[in-house]
Amino acid sequence: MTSTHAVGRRRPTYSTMVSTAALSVLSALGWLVFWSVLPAALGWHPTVVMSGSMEPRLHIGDVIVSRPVPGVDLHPGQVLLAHDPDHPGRLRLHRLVQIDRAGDFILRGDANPTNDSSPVRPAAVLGVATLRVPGIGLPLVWVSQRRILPLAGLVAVLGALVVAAGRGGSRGGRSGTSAPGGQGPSPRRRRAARVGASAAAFAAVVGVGVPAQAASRFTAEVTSTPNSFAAATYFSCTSAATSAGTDAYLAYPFLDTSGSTVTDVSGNHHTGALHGSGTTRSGGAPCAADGGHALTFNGGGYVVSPKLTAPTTYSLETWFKTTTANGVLMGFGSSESIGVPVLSEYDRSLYLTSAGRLSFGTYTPGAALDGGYNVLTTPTVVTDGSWHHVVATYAGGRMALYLDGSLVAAMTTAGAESYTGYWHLAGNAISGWPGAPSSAYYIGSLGFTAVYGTALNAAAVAAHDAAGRP
Amino acid sequence: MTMHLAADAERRRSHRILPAVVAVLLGLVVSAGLIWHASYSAFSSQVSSPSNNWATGTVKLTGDNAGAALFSAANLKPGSTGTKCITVTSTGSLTSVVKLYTTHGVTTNALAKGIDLTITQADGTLPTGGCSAVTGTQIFTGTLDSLEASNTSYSTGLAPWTANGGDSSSKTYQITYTVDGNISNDAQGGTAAVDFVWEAQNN
Repeated sequence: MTSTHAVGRRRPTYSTMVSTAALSVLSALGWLVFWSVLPAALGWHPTVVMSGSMEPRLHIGDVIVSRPVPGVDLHPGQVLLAHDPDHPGRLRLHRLVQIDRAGDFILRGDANPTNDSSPVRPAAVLGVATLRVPGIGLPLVWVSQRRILPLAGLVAVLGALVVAAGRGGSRGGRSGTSAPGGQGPSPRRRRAARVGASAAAFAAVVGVGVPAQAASRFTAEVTSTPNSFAAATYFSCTSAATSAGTDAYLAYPFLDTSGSTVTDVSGNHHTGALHGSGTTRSGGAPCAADGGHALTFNGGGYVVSPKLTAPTTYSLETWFKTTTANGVLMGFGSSESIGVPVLSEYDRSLYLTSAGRLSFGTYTPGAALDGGYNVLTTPTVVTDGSWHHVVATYAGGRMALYLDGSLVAAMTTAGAESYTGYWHLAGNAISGWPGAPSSAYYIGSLGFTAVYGTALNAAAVAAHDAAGRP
Repeated sequence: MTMHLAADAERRRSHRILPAVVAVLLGLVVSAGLIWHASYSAFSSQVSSPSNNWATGTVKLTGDNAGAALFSAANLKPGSTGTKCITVTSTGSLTSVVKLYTTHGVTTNALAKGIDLTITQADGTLPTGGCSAVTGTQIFTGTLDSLEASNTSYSTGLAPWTANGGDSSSKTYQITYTVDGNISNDAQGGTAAVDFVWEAQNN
């Protein structure tokens, strides 16, 4: 028994220190697990971080304990535990970066370059991350990833710690078993029972509060923005011609397949009359949505509108295609028949010059400048065999000429001649006008043609031009 | 001698229990300190600027459009049509699931209801024949409006595909729009805008 006396009185031995150290480590681990799961009893939410999208603040394997939301003031910067909006049945642990207008929460993983695309509804928030127990959930991560090696390593380390912790006491235990009497359970057995009971209690606590898995998610996006689709202002030339504010006087899509009249679709029934001969009908013209019809003149036919007072505010619009620098596309004349001297008065004309350009001419009686002839001319030759869109406008003495949707010439006049007469297509009178061609008869095709009681502005002209093109 | 033995056993027990008590208390202090420190550093401070290169893995997605729009279509009329393609490539180290959805859909004059979309998804990058030669699975047919209504977020994203971590895997999307031939004139002058978003999230 002297040896026992000696043990009792001796200063702590090396093995006691090792055992105490090992026990301390085990105890610290135990407490960490304890803190990880105990709050569950209070209704808090322990969760294991399963991915690294909250690096470097939260690491894989950390247990994060979140406090329930009621009574907590949520503000950007806090890390929230919420039902994953993108993955039903899963949890997401990301930082609150913004509260949107709808009151929903915009979250973001610290390691993600962008905010989470799906907002989280306030009702989906489970709690605010409050405690972080570093690394203690790693075994659960390993289990979920089926990584045997680290698990085996952990078991080995724990086993070694348990053995080391038992060493210091086992010396006393061994001497205890050799003690005489042998009444009651041996200290070693009692110790085993104590360890077993603690382990069972520990396991029960862990079992109750085993942390859920919180997927803090990595996200990456590819965005195509801003894709834009813009409908034409008008789907058809008829739609453009009859849109509000144009005050269409006549609109001819040349849909008639026979007869000597041209049907007006403006709603005014200003039917045109075919005069002369040599007009043919064909398709393939602009304004496909309107049928894409054209009326082709061979130099002997023309169209006449009903009689009216020459307007002082108006727009002329037509699509044309020709290779011949001759004739008047549209013009106003004092009689139904055309040519000089039948027509005593004629102006408001769109005519091809002998050079193949397109002119818009109006006449101001008594004006000294240019003998009263007000003429705008395109800078380019238009007798190129392609379809062109032309609009001529007149309002308040101001003339403008648009070719293919763009303004090409404009001027201000001293006023307009006043008389009654008719709108003519493909013929009028032209002699005496600047750049006048040899004949007033137009040789070529006319597509959708209209006359308005207003001066179309540049935007409207562009929209009319676009309406006729594919 | 019996008295002596009892006192001796008592002393032995205290010598066993004292280190244990010290160890347990030490563990408590250490664990509490660790948790306090870890919690403080994680939750008290605002986020640092994000990096995309943490050792734990990445999710990466790139598109050959450089973020730009696929469509910028103007002067649309009944029957107008157009086709564009985009190849989306995942190069992250983590396995992720990629989905397509739309955001920021806006329209005027209800134009989005008159634009029909067909979206085809094909494996790999653009074939040698170009965008029109893409053949694959049709993953959407319907109006732009219905796409905007049904696919608004990752959870409702179209045609999920799994990109294995560590690999570079691509899908090509062919998107064709056609303006409804019977669209009402009420849609004249209308506009529609939409963002297409391809998002990858790790599992």
